[in-house]
Amino acid sequence: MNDKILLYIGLMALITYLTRFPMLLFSSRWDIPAWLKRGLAMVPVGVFSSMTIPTILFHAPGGSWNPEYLGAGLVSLGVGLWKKQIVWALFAGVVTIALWRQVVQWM
Amino acid sequence: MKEENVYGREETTASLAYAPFVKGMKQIFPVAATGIVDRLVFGILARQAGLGVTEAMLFSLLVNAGSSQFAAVGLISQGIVGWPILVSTLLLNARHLLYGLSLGPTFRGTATWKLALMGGWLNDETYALTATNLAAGEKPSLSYFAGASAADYLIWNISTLAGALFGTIFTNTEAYGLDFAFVATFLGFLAVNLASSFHLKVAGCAAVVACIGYAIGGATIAIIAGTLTAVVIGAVSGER
Repeated sequence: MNDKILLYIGLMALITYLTRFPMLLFSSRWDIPAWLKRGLAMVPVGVFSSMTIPTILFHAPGGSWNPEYLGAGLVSLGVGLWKKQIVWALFAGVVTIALWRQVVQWM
Repeated sequence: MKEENVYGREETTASLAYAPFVKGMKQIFPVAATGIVDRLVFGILARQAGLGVTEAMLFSLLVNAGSSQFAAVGLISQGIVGWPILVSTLLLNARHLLYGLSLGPTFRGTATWKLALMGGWLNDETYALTATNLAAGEKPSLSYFAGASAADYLIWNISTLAGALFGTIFTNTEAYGLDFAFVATFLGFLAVNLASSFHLKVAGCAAVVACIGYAIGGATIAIIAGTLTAVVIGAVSGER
């Protein structure tokens, strides 16, 4: 397990470097087609949307659907849009869900 | 994007210029400081996922890319140590391709070995700061980038270490809502990246396709399908 983790950290480092250096070098020497630029420009939005939206919509701990992620997720996204800072979205989401669980416990 | 690098001779010498280096260090500080909590949380979550302090540190020292580290630790905590980690790393860090594309033309006259070093520290913070600096009409400076990178890297790793050292103090993570930290962080990334109504539409389409992918093949398929959808929409849409 441990060696495997180290291997994967190494591979992650290599993959990450390959996303950083070659394009920097390439674009400093040649021009990139506009359609590719436009496509790549949408990568962040695509990744973050695909990573989060299904997770909060289909959150079912222990097999039954639970709205806690959806509720906290909307708060998180709202605060993120308002503050335009990741750390605020993180705080808002975590605080919301912690409070949510407290309230559910009391009820 | 086609202008030549007509700026000072600083980039043709191997030495770092002191003034821009320090300026870069100073200017990245508030940017990097906002990420301190994020990185503390990474250290904590890495320990929660069963990793040691050394592994948590190696992530930050070698990978130096926050979102993919979060995703990897999330997968590891679910017992997944395999190709999904590499796929999510590639997808999440694909945005660096764009950063490279964006900064490359500015450093047209720069030696390959310097660009190779620069590539190692090209992340969200250093890119955002450098791009903002260039947009404000400052001349491109590798020394400035190096200073910003050095400070960012230092803060990033100190925060990770602190989180990893104290990460075992928190045992009941669910009560603190820490299991939601990953999702909340990425919703923050999403919010910050929704720059226009077009971005919102793309995010919506990606989410719909991702949900279908999720229902069919789980989280990894969802991310691949959703991201490809976003890329295709971006590529076929006209000039904006």
